[in-house]
Amino acid sequence: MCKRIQKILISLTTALVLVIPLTATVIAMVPTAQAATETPAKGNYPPDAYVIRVDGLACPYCAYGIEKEFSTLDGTRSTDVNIEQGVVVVHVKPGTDWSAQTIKQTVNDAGFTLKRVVQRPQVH
Amino acid sequence: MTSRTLNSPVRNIAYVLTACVLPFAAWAHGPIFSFNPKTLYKGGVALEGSFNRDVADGRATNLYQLKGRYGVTGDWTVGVSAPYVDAGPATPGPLAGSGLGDVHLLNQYRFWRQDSKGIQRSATIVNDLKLDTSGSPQGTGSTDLTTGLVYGYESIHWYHWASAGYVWRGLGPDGLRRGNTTLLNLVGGWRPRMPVYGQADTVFLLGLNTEITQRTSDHGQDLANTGGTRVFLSPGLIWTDSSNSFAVRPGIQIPIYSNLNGNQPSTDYRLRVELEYHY
Repeated sequence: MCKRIQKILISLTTALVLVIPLTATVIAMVPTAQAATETPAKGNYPPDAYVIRVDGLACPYCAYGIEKEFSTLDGTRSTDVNIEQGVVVVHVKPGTDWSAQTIKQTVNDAGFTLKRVVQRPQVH
Repeated sequence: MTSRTLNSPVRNIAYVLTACVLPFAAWAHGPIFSFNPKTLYKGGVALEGSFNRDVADGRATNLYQLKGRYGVTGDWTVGVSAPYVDAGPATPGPLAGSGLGDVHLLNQYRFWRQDSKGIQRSATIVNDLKLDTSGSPQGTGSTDLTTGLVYGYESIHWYHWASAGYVWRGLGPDGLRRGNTTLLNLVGGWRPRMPVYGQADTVFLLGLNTEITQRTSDHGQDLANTGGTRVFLSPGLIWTDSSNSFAVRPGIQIPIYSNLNGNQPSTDYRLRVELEYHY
């Protein structure tokens, strides 16, 4: 009897775990305009942010490392990632001044490659 | 070469082994049944729980595994895993039943990486050292080392991975040495939708996994009903939630070719469901 219950639980769990991602996929396939505008378009970046081009960004789960690594730097307020453009926008507190080497090392620690720094914060 | 018939306890080892061959391999955002080149970010921690079910000749062996990983650098990840094996009571013998399996130590070093916009190519060496820690019938009683080399291509819509590995198995209890295994894997992945950071993401996978295992030997004598070649087709998917820190990876291995020595249980299917959280 106990074994039977275990089998039913295993089957239910497996079915749920398979169905949930598939359902989420269908939902996720519906385009959302809002998300695409989260990171500003090229040339229209917020003045309080570092804007950097990063190579190797291909998945959101992996890009999480970028957010985590920049969160360890003094001055970071928040980080936005645009995977399609390969752009990372790091909002910082006034007076924050990171060297190019610091930015390069931070991106490398996240497992990616710094292409170039597009913009440094314009408000100090 | 002299061959002996597989006796009952050793046959049980073969059953348990089928579920223990590859639980170490799948890490993070990558293939489910083979090696992954992806390493954790520096200082990152990943916790994973997985359920593995191996059904051979109608008999199921379940394996539950907890795994922890830590990113030493952006290219070097270490970890540890501990399995719990439920071999079921169906087959009489010392290995039937449930218990803690052997602890694994994991090492993963990405020695090459080439990044361009939306694309990452990388090559990684993977090591898994299985220690003889269990002391129960659910352990194999040996220290085993797995080494793998994996190449990965990851882009916004398409993925592919190719890997080769080898499992060296040490001398077990009572002079038993299970056969070494060669692993060859090809996996492709497809993401139907442009990924957006902060939204859920899905990648569909299809893999081809080959396992070539040598015969088990008992005091230097090969056992007849051991070893052989298995090829599996492995569909699966990776789903990550909108926090980008939680992943679910279900997959199934379906045997498409089997050439086993002597009389051995043939695999019906293998199922794996992994849950991972990283922070």
